[in-house]
Amino acid sequence: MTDDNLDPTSLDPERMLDDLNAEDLDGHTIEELSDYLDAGREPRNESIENSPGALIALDSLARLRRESWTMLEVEALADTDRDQNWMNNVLANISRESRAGRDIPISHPDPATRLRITEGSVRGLIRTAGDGTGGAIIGKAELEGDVTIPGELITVNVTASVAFGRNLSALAQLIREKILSDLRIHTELNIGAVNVAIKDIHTLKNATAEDAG
Amino acid sequence: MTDDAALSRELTAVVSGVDGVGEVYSPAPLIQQVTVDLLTAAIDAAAADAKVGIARGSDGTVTVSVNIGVIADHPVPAVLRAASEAIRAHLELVETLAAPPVIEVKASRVHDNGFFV
Repeated sequence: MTDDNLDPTSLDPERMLDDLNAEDLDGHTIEELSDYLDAGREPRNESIENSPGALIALDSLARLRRESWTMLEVEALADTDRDQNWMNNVLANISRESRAGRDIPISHPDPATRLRITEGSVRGLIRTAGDGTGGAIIGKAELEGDVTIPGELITVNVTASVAFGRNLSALAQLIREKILSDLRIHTELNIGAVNVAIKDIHTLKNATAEDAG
Repeated sequence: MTDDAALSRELTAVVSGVDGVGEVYSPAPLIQQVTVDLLTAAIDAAAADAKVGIARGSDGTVTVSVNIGVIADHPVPAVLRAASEAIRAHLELVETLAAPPVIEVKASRVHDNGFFV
């Protein structure tokens, strides 16, 4: 049910981002990045454009808006508290996960050549893969295990929100396969499992997981 | 010896030209990892086109550090290896090295070949 008295500006991303941590993004806030995105990334902000963490967050924010924001906005009008909280959690996770984090080694036969990929970029890969399956938004992405040790068994844990009506089992499997495929292309991580937890189902009728069967 | 600011600019151009490299970021985070009491950093951080970190140890060892963004349709490991080989080849071309160089290449972002706005 839609609340006719709801202030539409309460769904404004800027207002929902006030409490996020600026230090996770090389001094930039998600709110600042949201403004920058609104301005079409003009005039060019060299500090943002030269910060991998801010750019990863900017990528995620842009993708979230482009693919998912409308769906969430419509539903949020019907169930404001729950979905504003959910969106805030997603945005907070984007902010936190965009940090460089740990260095993940890539092998090279010459020991004097040290190749690395940051944990932040791998989390960005995971989020991109999950969001890219269609009908799902990754809420949280984490790498469990010591990614700094070559060959160490790593578990990927993600949470996702999906659109009502999707086959949850099939969608979770699609997300799992896409993440695994992308990690095999771009990293040398020894992935033992990709766990996908569907945490939310979005629908105008405010369905629960049980409704979706 | 080549001026290190100039060498950094050359190497920035070299790395930028590697297939799959989308961006080259400033070297500050990588330089923090270098043992600065043993090596003398020679970074002109203010130079926008000199983004490759170069440090020289007292034993003549050159450490080159670069932080890149990789275009998503290129496998990161292959791009990192190609970038390191391009750096090595350029160093061998322009310098007489007293010792094998240490080359550090880090992918800090994997992104599409374009901007979302």
